[in-house]
Amino acid sequence: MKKLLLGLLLICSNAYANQAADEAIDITSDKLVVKRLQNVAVFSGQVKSIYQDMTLTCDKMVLEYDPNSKTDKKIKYVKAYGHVKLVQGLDVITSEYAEYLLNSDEILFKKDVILNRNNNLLTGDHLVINTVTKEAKMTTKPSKQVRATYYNKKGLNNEEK
Amino acid sequence: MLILLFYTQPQKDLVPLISQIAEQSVEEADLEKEKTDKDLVEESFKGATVKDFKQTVMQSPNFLGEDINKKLWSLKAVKAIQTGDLAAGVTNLYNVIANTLSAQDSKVDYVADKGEYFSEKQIIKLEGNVKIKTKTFILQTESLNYNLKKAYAETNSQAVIKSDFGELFGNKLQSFNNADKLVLTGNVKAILYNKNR
Repeated sequence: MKKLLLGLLLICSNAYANQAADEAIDITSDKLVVKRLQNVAVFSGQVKSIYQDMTLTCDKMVLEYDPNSKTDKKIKYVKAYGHVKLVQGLDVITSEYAEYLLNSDEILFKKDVILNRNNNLLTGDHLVINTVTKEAKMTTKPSKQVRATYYNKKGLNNEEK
Repeated sequence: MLILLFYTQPQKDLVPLISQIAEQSVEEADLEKEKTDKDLVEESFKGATVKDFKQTVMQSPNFLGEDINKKLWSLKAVKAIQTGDLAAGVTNLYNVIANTLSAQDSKVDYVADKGEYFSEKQIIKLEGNVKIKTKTFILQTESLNYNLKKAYAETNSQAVIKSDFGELFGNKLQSFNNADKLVLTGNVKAILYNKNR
């Protein structure tokens, strides 16, 4: 009986810990500048951010929060600049700029975007990915085309434009 | 026998000689003693002035001033010991609290167990349970230098900032315009809460 209660306690505390962890963004960097009046925080130098199952690294990250938010979320957006790389499960996305609007569950990537999903590559200029459904939409400038490189089961390289 | 052979001065002539020598020794010793006492006193006070020995103990002192942003600051303590004159001396403060406003009129308090206040430069070095308290966050550190005139502060130890939005850590913190702008450097870490807690 005692073991059962202890097990239940561990499950509950673990669930709570996961929930609490899911709500928090963990960021490390070399430097942080907080501008209290503008409600803006700027991280620079080897920036690494972990949120839920996503890890994002970049040269610079700008974060704006809303202290008077009427929704249950205080962070308005996160913008990443320079050597942006996002890893979520088997997805690896690189670009020069990324923007995460936390209320919409969508991440926007711009400039030299490469989506690597299970070693299948998709390149373009503009990518929108839904972090919940994992749906990805790649577009490019009118003068260019989206390039997709995917591997079939036998390991043969197939390219499509 | 050998000693007697070498002795040639008649004994009766030795007594005045010895007495004379003894008297001279005593006079010289006395002179030496007086000189040493005087010298000792002079040497101990060499270079010192009266103000160096002046100490003032104050209960609940309150220092006032104005910073570069034209905001008034007040520096209070439970007890203060001031060495020298106020203009150029150092005041040791115990249970310190400095109240001021940021450049944007946000209330800011600096609190510490003790501090050294340099009145001429309007700088205070805070030590022990140092906190910067605002409406939105509390900063904690062990040691901080606060320039009251320039509204600038800098930690000498690791800084932790706690707020409703999360927690920030860094090896060093700089505060400008009384915490309107904060700069954290060295192993910076932020844990930001996305949802209301």
